[in-house]
Amino acid sequence: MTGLAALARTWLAANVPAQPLPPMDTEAGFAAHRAWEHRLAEARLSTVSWPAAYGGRDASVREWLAVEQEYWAAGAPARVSGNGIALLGSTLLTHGTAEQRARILPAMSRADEIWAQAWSEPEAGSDLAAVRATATRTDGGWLLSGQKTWSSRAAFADRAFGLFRSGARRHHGLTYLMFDLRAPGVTVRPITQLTGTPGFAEIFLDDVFVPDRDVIGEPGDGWRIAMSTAGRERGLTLRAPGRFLAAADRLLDLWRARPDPALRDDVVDAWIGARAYHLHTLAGLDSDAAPGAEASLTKVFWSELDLTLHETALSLLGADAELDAPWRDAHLFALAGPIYAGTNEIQRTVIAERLLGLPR
Amino acid sequence: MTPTDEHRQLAASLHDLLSDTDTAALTRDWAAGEHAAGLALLARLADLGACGLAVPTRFGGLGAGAVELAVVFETLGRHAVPGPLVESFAVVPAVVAALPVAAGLLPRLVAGELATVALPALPVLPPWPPAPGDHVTDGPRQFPALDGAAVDNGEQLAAGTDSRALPGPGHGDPPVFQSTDQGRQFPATNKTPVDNRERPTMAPIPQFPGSGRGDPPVFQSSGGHRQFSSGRPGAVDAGLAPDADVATPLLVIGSTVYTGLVGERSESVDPARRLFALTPGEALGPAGDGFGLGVVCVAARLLGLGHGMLDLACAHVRARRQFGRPVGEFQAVKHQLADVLVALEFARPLVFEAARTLAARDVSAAKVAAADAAYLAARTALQVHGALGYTQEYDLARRLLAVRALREAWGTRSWHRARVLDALTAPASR
Repeated sequence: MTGLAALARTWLAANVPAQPLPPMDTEAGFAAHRAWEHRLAEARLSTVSWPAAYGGRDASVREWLAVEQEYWAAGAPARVSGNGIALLGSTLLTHGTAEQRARILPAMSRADEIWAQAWSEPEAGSDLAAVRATATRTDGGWLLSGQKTWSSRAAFADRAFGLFRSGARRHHGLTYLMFDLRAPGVTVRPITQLTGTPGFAEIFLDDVFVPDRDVIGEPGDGWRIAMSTAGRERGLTLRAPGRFLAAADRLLDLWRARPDPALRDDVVDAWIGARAYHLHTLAGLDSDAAPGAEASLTKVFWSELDLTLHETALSLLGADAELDAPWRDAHLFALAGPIYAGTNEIQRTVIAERLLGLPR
Repeated sequence: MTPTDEHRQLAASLHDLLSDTDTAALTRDWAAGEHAAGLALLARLADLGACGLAVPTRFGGLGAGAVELAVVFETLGRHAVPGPLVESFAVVPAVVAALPVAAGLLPRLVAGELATVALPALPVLPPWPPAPGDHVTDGPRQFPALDGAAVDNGEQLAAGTDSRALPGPGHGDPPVFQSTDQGRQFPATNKTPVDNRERPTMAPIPQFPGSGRGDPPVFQSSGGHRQFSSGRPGAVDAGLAPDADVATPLLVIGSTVYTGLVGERSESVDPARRLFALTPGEALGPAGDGFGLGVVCVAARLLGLGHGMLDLACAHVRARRQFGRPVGEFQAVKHQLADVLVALEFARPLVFEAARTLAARDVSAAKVAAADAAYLAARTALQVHGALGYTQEYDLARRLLAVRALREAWGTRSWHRARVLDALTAPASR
């Protein structure tokens, strides 16, 4: 264990709430999760891989993976800032200006600002390049109009980021922008998920002003930048192996408590899958292959592993499965895995075309 | 564990050699008992150092480890090279390395000759679930005492190998048969009483330390996908070993290795796997442990077989046109092949981790994942080829049949899963 992982273990052991926080996608739960993020940031464990100047510890990917492993093993709360950190944070570190990084990243690391993603639209889901919400040039910035949907965390978050159409060319007419969810002209309509809580929302934009400083990269270059974000989301950053190693351990605990011979192989397969993801990740760190299409392999693997692992847990629980809140809720969340961050159908097409070289 | 540049070079030179070889024709010959082309290829593999890779340097080998073997077997699998290669390159060297016979045998293997071996039956792993009250989560795990007098399951009796007596092959591996060191209740699948009287006298009586009783040895071939027990009262069954007509045959009973006397042939689903019954001849001494190493090599071979079939399938769907376009343009076809790549790519790190540690848990996890991935590759490749893939002459068939045989050989997938779970859930004291 690295020194940082040991430090995280010690801190988590002393600080992880004994009782689970209320659900993240409720007003009270969102506030409780934000308070947890504050404490994590005070311990400088919120964004360990970021530079120290932005609230990180300059940790290597390997150290970050070890900290993630400790985090999930400790049963710590879900990260309400996770999407912002994993998607926007890493995008700004690569494509943002120094001013943007200094202004946005420390506030994100401390959860003073919590971010929602705003990619999808009613007519642009898997076909993301079909986005219609527009960004129109105005004095000193842009005016955003149109509709976004399925925006995770948008019901209670502070700000959002997404792609807007600033030109006619399909892939080259898109601009990557950040906007305030409380700005004049923004209407957020929470959407209740099958979990019963509004985990995402529709966002209606009506001539919402965004200053130039909130454009990431060049206008018209949004698709390329977004795809680098998408690669991260599908790949490692959003779902570190530690999450699944911890889930597999919980499944084994469940097996010990209620072994069922008919499910033995499924329990073992879940453990094997989590270990495979962990080892695959470590092997990838030693490889110089560029992430990209490889992230699609990862997305298919972890999302389906997560779902079958939780299905196995429900089977072990039997009649209690409808009652056991942690496994029940985790399973409902796992159900969304093959859909969000690019459906697995899209991922498989990417794998087939870009890794197997099949015709487009 | 990530293969290094050196490993990649080894794989590349092997790949080049095999790409220049008509392994399809060679396999047809091999299945017909015509070994000339196969032995010629082995001589060329020997020149590359592949045959003696894991043989200690004092016998003329390279003294390399399981990782190098895994690299070689993945490539051999990709080209679907037939023969008792896992036995010759990996298992037999580990089994005999500490014995006098090694000085004569191993240099011949380094030069490209073949050996084959039948290993003892695999131990039966704990019954699942434990009966209420049996399951102990703290302290030593308890199993119902085995009443030796009442042993009536003529099948699947564990060879009571005392792992402490095994000279390990130098990998610091945990005892492979660690689960036999306590008496356990087996699911009775065959009520025929077993009579021990005809046990070969030179075979030490395997012991369950917990029961203090001797149990009859039941063999499993290193390759056979069956458990070997005829159920005939008094019979001591022979183990099956592949290609014993062209390879030096060995047999392990309990913890002792014997020369093998070759008996009748059994049909495998894979015609190029020519299984022969072996009975014990001369005792050669205590057997080294080659099981884990063999399983890792089989897993690597399965991985390679899977990739070979994926290559074939992709080439086919690019070329084959229907409805005016390559069938590979159809999303339904793409997705199936993408799933195969996902399965293979996530089996690979398990195989190489198993090669690195040779721990029972890792070895079994690798076998499960590689077998499942290779089988998915076989099924999918067949599906996207349509009827063409179902023909014997098309190159898919021999690969598919090889996977079909290896999938449940060297321990069934279910047995390996049981072993993973045993390693994971047993108290640390065990």
